[in-house]
Amino acid sequence: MTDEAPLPQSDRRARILDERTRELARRRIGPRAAAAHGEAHLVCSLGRNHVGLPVASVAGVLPAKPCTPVPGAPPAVLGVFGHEGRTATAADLATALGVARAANGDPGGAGVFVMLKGADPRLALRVDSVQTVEPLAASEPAEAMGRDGGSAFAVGYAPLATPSGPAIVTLLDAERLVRSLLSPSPAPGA
Amino acid sequence: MSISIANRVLLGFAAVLALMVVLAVYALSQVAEVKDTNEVIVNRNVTMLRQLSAIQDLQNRARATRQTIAAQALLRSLNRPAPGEDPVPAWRKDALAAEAAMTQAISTAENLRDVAMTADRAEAWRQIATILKDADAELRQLHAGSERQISAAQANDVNGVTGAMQAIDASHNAFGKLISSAVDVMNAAIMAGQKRVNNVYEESRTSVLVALAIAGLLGILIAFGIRRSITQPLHAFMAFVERVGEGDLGGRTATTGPEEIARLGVTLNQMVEGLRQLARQSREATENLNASAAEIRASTQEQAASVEEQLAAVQETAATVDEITHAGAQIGKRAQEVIASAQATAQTSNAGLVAVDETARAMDAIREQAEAVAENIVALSEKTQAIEEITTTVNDISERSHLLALNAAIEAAGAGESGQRFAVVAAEMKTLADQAKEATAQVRSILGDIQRGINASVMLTEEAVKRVAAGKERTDTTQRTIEEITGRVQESVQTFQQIVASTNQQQLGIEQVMGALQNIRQASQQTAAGTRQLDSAAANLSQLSQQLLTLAERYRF
Repeated sequence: MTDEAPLPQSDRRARILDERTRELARRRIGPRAAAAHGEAHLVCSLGRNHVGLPVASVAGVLPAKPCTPVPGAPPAVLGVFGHEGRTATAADLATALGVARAANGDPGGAGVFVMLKGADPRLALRVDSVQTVEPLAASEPAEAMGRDGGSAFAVGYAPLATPSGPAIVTLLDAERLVRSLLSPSPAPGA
Repeated sequence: MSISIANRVLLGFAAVLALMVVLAVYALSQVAEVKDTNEVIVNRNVTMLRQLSAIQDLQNRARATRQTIAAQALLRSLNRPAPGEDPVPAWRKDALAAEAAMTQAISTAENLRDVAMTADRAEAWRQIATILKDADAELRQLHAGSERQISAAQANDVNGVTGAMQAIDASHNAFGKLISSAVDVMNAAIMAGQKRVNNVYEESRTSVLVALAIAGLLGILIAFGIRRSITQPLHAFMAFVERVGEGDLGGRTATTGPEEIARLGVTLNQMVEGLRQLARQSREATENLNASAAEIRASTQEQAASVEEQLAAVQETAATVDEITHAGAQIGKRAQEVIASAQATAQTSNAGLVAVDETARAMDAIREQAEAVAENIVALSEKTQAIEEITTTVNDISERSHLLALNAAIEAAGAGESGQRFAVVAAEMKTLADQAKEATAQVRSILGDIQRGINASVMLTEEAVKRVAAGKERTDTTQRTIEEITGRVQESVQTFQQIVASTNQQQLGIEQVMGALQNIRQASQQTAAGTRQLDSAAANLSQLSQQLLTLAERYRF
């Protein structure tokens, strides 16, 4: 290691640590911005992209688990896993949307499974992380962006203020996702 | 003529010999004649002279005896008688004898006069006879007088003795004169006789000379004849031999004539043939000699050149050896200097070793301190690890809480109106979870800083330890190097001492080499001198062989 930065002096270090502690302890009581705008969406991140899933179609979130691969499944399907005593299918949202996984980030992290409602067997979408539940409204319809792989399931785009700056959240259509992921794929050779 | 040369010569010699014999005989007869004449004359002279002398002796004896008688008489008169016998008979005998002799002499003279060889001689004999006759008369007179004296003496007549003395003496003197004149005439006769002998001698000489001349002439004629008969054929030979003498060996001569001439011709031809072969061989040998001399010359010159080179090489070698000697002396000096400086270096190395020891000890102290620091840091790191694990647990808790809060929010959203308060609680929980997550993130970042600082410290300490180790290594290296240097210097000192010793030996060896070089130079000079001598001898040989060649070329064939 060639890090030549010397350690700061002790009183300066104490001051910085105190400020950080105070910052941390402060409660963030800020105005709830745009509480009534739009529907509640679950904001997930796929690399640098943000996607939003309607809360109504989300059953819950859980840490990612190892899946058993299933042959003959679409490429986005990761496999099956067990949850609460029942089998569920896991699919990679990034692969399903055709989003290139960013090289920087956390390739080692398993991510988070977002369990969707209404499918039997149940479907979980793997995302990198789950940020928040926010009411979001599509400021721009998806048709304006054109028809590409990433926008096949998008219904719109909404701005969001994230701690790392303003971002565009792609609002997804959960039912279409489920249908495409769980529809039986044609057997090879048929 | 076919008489052989020898016979011709013999004949000629015989003829000459005969002439010589005749001449000799004639000469001998002439000599005999001369001798006879001489003998006769001399005999006659001698006879006469003897007779005259006898007369004189007898007379003198008689005189002496007479005087004795007179003396005796005188003595007797003085009354001193003399001893001895009576001398008178003796006197008488002598006197008579003298007279007889005189008579004989006269007759001899007369005889001789008659048979005299020459008229002078005859005249002389006549004169002698005459004188002798006178002398005889005088003698008788003398004797008469003496008789008177003797009788006087016998009668002891002193006066008569003394008186008669005078007459006797006068007679004696006259007698003596006559005798002497006779002798003179005798001398004249002798001279005449000598003249006669001379004449005879001259006559015979002349005759002999004439005979000699005749014989000589005859001999010359004979010799001329024989000579011509011999030299004519010999001329041809001589001409031939002259040509051979000039060097023309190619001819042959005639072989006809008398047998000696023929044999001589054959022999000359053989001789010339032999000379030809000899000349040929001599020429060949001389040419070989010339070539050999030239070769010797060439080789001696090569040898001289090589000896010169040898001398030059010896000179160079001597110069080189000189240089080596000087270089050796310089090496010795430098070695001594190096030894001195090496010893100084050894002292410096000792000081250096002491300093290195101290440095090593200081480095050890530093290393111990660094190791203590490292131990502290390791303890710190372990504590940080513990904190990290706790932080991980808290982070895990916050994650789960976050998920839980989200689940709660989802349930609350699904519950609708009745879930509003639950949504608030869920939001609060989410906020807590978020804060916890932030705190853990910050703690984690601070831990990371701490860890990085610890790592940096560890690294620095390790580096310090490494540097100390490196320094220690270097110090060890330095120590080893210094010790090695010291060792090497010691070795160098020993080596240089050996160098000095061997340089001294080298000096001895070089001196020997110089001595040997001197010997070589002397030997070379001697060889050079000998080679020069050889060269000059070879040059002489060359010259001689050239001369021989020139000589050998005289003969043409």
